[in-house]
Amino acid sequence: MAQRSTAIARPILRPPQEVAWRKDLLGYRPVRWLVRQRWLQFALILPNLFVFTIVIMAGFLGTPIGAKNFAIIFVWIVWWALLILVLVPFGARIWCAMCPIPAVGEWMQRRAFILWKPKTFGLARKWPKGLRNLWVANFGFASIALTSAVLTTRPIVTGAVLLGLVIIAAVTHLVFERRTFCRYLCPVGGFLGLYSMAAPVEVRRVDAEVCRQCQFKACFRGSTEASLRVGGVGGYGCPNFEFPGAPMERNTYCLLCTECIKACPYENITIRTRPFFQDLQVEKGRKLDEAYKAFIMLGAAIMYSIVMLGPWGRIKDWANFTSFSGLLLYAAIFLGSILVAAPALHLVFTWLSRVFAGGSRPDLKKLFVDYAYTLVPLGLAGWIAFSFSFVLPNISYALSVLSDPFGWGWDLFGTKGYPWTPYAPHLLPYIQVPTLLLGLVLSIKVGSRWGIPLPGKTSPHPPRPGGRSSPSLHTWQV
Amino acid sequence: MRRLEWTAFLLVLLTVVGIPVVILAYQFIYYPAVASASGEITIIARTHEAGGWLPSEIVVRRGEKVRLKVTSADVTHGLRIRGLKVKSGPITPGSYQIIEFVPQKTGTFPFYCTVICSPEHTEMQGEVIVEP
Ligand code: SF4
Ligand code: SF4
Ligand code: SF4
Ligand SMILES: [Cu+2]
Repeated sequence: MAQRSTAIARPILRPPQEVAWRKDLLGYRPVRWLVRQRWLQFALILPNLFVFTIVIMAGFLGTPIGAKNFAIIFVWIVWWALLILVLVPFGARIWCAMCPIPAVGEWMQRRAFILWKPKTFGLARKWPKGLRNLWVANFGFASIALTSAVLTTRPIVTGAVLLGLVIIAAVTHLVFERRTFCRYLCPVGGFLGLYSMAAPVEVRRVDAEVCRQCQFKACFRGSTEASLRVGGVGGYGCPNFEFPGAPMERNTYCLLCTECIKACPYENITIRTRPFFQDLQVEKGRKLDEAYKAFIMLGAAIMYSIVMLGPWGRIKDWANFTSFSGLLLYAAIFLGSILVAAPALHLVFTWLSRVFAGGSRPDLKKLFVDYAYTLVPLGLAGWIAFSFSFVLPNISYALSVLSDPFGWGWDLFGTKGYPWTPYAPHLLPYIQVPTLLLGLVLSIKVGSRWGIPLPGKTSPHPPRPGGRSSPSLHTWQV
Repeated sequence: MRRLEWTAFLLVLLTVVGIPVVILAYQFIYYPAVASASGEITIIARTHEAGGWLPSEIVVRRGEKVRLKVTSADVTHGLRIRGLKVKSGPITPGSYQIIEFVPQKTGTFPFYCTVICSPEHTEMQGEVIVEP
């Protein structure tokens, strides 16, 4: 091949261990061909843009009855189920490769739908340094989580929030460079990033030596005339500010958009399979904002289970914003427990485990952050288990809503009359409890694995995941 | 290359503008025209607090078939037209009930909700006017 007639040849990847788990997907010719097509991402986005348009129309013009409205059923049941049960655990942030939310903005910024163009449109400002973290996204997610009882039942709210996200994303693309929105603002992106660390796929550089000698760094800077003379099909620099050649060691911010694969003149980036939860072992990049994301996610899963599945009608009323004082109370309890109580509890356990370890050397803040990552398997399992509890009972609405998306009495596919059928209600606990236990075991395993290399003398494994998960387990078992 | 971009642009335009326009035109122009030609009238039931019947006044002609398509936008309601012997079953939110009848006498006939639906349930009324 012409691209390979360079001094640096593409090495063949043969990692010494765990070969069974590791497959270089670009070793398959059709896959390699596909990811090098510039139209790939457009083709992924377009169908989702169509669904999204229907969702927004249904939100604003369709029936206000949530269960009969395409917007509610397809966003909060179908999309959510796909995301948390399939796409994130198995495909990392593959959703971000097909997400229509930033598409309009990105097309304007690139002045192209498909092609690679060297010049972009817009102010291309840099995002302020102090905000280059997940705090804004965390805050956005917390407020969405807080209003979820309204958001997930009233179509017009869902429609307005999604349209709002598209508009904010478009403006962000015109003012700031690349996908500033996805990296620092998107409330969905934060949690996708956190749990994508669990997924068994990764985009990574192949050979460190090739990257060291590479003068183009096209995976970060984008293709140039010079780099294209060497190889690559013309790609933008990583839209999400990653530098895969640097290398990139975690999935957290990789949108699987394949631009870096297209840009790299040496074909030195690939997509691989790998064992689950690999990125949790990577110490580099761990930060307090991400750690907080882990608390928010786990806390929200527990809170939702209590509010929605528990027998407390009063709390449900508060969550539905029936009165102002109830709303305040609910906000205080909800935000208090996910933003203050959970981290505080974590801090206590971190401190205890440090004391028990006998060493005072490992910095408390570092331990606090490190241990937070042990919550990732538990949090993911919690969300999966919780999602089953509303997806299985409600997924049957999808059929009737497909035939009558706006609640206008249509019957497109003859399935409008499909009755509400809760699937496998008696199996629910048998799915949920093992899921949670698995999450718990994995959390402990992740934690104990890094117990050893830490500077503490004995293994400072946190007693935390066990202590903390019992209330959640309890809730689900009831 | 230019062709590819134009195709993509047209596909996007079709998706975000074309399809919505077709849907809206069908639902709000074509369908009402066909429906009114066949005498169909859609009635949306809402609690009195939320605005009551929509529309709350219906004009029909004596001896011509009337086809009512009744739905609810909030809770379960029921429809009864006094004096024309018209009564629906429970109308659950989002479901549609078709009621057909031929009015035989002229005059003004009140219709109301048959399901206690809110504190102001008894106020939830409308009128059918049968013209000669
Ligand atoms: S970060 Fe958010 S807006 Fe960006 S692609 Fe992912 S889900 Fe979509
Ligand atoms: S991955 Fe990036 S740094 Fe490495 S060879 Fe390719 S363009 Fe150069
Ligand atoms: S350019 Fe590469 S590293 Fe960056 S988001 Fe896309 S696939 Fe991931
Ligand atoms: Cu009533």
